[in-house]
Amino acid sequence: MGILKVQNVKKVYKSRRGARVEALSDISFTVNKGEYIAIMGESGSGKTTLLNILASLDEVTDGEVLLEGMNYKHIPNDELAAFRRQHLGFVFQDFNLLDQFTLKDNIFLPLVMANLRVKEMNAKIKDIAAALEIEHILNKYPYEVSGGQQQRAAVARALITSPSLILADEPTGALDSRSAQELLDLFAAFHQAGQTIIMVTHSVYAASKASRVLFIKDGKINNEIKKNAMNEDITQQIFDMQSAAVTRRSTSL
Amino acid sequence: MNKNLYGKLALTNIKKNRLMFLPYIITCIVTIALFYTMNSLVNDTALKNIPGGNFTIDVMKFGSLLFTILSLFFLLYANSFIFKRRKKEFGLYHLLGMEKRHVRKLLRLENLLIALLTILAGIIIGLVFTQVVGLAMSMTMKAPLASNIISILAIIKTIGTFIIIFFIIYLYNVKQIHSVHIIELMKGGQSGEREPKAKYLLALLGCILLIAGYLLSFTVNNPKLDLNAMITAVVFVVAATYLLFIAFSVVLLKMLQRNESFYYNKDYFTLISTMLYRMKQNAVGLSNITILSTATMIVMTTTISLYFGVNTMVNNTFQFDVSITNTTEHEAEQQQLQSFIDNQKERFNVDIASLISYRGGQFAADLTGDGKEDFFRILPLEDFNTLTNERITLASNEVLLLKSKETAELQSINLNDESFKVKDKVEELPFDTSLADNIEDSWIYVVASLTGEFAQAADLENSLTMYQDFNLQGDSKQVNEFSHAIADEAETIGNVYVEAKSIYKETVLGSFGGLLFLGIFISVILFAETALMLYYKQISEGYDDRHRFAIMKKVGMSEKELKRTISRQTLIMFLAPLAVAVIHLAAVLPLVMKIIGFTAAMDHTMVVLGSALFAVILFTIIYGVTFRFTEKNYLRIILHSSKLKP
Repeated sequence: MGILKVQNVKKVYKSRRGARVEALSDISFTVNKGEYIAIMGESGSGKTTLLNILASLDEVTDGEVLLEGMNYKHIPNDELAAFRRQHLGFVFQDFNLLDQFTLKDNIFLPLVMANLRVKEMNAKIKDIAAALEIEHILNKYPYEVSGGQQQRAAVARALITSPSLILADEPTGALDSRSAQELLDLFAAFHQAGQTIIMVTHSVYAASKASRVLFIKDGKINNEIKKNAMNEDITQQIFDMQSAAVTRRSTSL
Repeated sequence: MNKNLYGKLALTNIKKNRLMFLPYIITCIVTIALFYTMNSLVNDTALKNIPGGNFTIDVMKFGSLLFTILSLFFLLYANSFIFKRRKKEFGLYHLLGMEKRHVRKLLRLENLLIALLTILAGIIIGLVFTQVVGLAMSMTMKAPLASNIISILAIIKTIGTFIIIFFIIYLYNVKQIHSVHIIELMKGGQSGEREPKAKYLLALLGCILLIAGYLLSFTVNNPKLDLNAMITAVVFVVAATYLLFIAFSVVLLKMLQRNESFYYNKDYFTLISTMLYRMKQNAVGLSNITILSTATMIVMTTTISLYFGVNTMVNNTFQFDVSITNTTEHEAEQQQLQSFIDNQKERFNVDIASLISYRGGQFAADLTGDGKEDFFRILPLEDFNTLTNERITLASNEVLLLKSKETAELQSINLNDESFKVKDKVEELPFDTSLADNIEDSWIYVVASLTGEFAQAADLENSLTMYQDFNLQGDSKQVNEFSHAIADEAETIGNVYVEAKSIYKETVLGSFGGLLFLGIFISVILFAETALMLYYKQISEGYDDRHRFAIMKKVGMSEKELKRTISRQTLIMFLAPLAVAVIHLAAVLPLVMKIIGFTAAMDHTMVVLGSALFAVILFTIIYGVTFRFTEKNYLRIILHSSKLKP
């Protein structure tokens, strides 16, 4: 059952001097409900562009993106924000928590935008905060807690709307190894509970936790590894794939 | 690195940062142009020759000094904003291997470039502006005021003053570069700002001071005597403004935040939290803007009322167009002047109307028996009867009094230990009695028979003065010329004194026209400062808010919601100072009226209220335009980056 369908997506930027830069040339893949996907690729490979397109923050030049059967192209501009709020949850490398809010208010932000009642919001945050072990710091400000705690608050903010898809951009990039491990464990737990996740990452270790890994290069998906069972260790395969890419590049020079 | 490179770099820097530099450069030019204009007018000989012109020159000299100091602080302030924003840029220079002396050289070149440009442009604009202002002043003062095309002295003064100011600004920047570490420079202006704490005590103190200040403004009766109370009121209101913005605003916002069903609402959530977060750095800026706005509106109100009140003031002081005064022993001179007037009136095509003549005297003694000396005037009963066509008789120890506040209750008056019975109170006398109820010193008008005991007690016979009052009918220009001719003739004759309404009006207009000009001038400067402070505040916040709004957009805020939040936030930040300033103005208005009534012998509530209304409307319009302009730029900064980087 495909929850997200990406069909022949192409993205061309015009640089300021008028030159055309092809960020994505032809990307197609389908994400099934409950899948945990990692996207890997070097800087400039187009993975950020892809994520922005999946996030409906950027428009495709050609091709189609469908989330739960809804074509992004057919969503009117002024409903895009509401769409993002309802269907997507974001986790960023630098957390992107707002300094002016307490952690609790940061987590509430999407709910407030959706005009929820205070009672409902309080009910929702209870379970999530317990699962993420941040109940005791909810009234603190982002600059008063550790990076790991900030990222967990950011995850809570992404989850609180019960989105169909979580988009994570290098979520472990700014964390120490212990916090990174904890975050990946959390992602695994959410995945087990049925949450669909797409994670862009550089880290082989992080990618190895996903159920499927897509490799993106020069605006194309050029490889894919799929686990047969969740406990299968694909670390070596990922390494092989990466070194193969490096070899290909060096021999082609 | 060669010299050319620095020059190029300096020029590119200014171009690249034009959003920050352009308003600064415009402000510099305007400031310099105004400075030149002021100095050029002070040094202008034509101003000295018109009546009241010297007063205007004195005021302008003082204003010029004040203006210099203001300019320095103001340009430093504007510069510090730019500098804060450019910290990262300087950090980068260091990182790339530029030494501090290289950066210093760059700063020197940038500063020199701006100084040259603005001083040149400022003086050129000032030259044009001086001509315009000269023309405007001739019109307001109703006197011709030819000004020199170029005032060399003013140019030298302007160049000298602003070179010093720009040098001080350069020194400030160099000090900044030296006192800050590279890493801090690289971080730029963004450091983790902590939310302010609610300070209930300070908030309360602010409220108390505000009420106390307002009450003082309402209760001060005599501005001359209650100078201390007045200063206290001003200090209270200023202090209260700071406290209100620093403490009360936080208390209020926290209160709103604690009301969850109100706070967790799409419309107020980000608004309240951002304002709270911002209040720490905003409070002082907002207070400054409020105080500047209040000052601008007070100056505007005062000058407009004074100008439009000139006629009231002149009419209050003079009931007749010409008054001739002389002692009885110099009656011959008076006759001589009289025949001059009769002979000349045809030449000026002016008619004499409503001529009255009477005798009288001015004295001071404690008539009312309250221990204080009263000023009083005696009008002989005989002259009173002639002028009013009445046949009142008084017994030897009886007098008549003009009805006024002071005399309303009096049944008898005392002079030299003798008591005199007040037979009656007269509603009005046939000559100017506006001094009877004047605010400063009230006069008592006594009508007594020349042969009566009161006149003898006052020794009226030896200090009897003759008064002749009359109006002139004809073209106002010729009335004015004739008045001058009479005054000149009186001076030649000697021992006979002339006061003429149109001459007095000229003098008053001379000084008030200058005051009006100065008022407008100061208003413009104060406003320019207010607007610039607003602009810089908003722009520098725009850079900080950029990141914040980018996150909100990702988390699910639409551009529409974003714009609405932003415009609401800016609107509040703009309206808060304006609203408080208008309330301040309203509270200070009674005091302004009293001061005006006191200094200008004018008590026209409607004039002051009208002027205040005009000032508020005008200020709001200009303020509103600034608001739109600033908001547009702020939005541009924020939305520019919303083509989100991940």
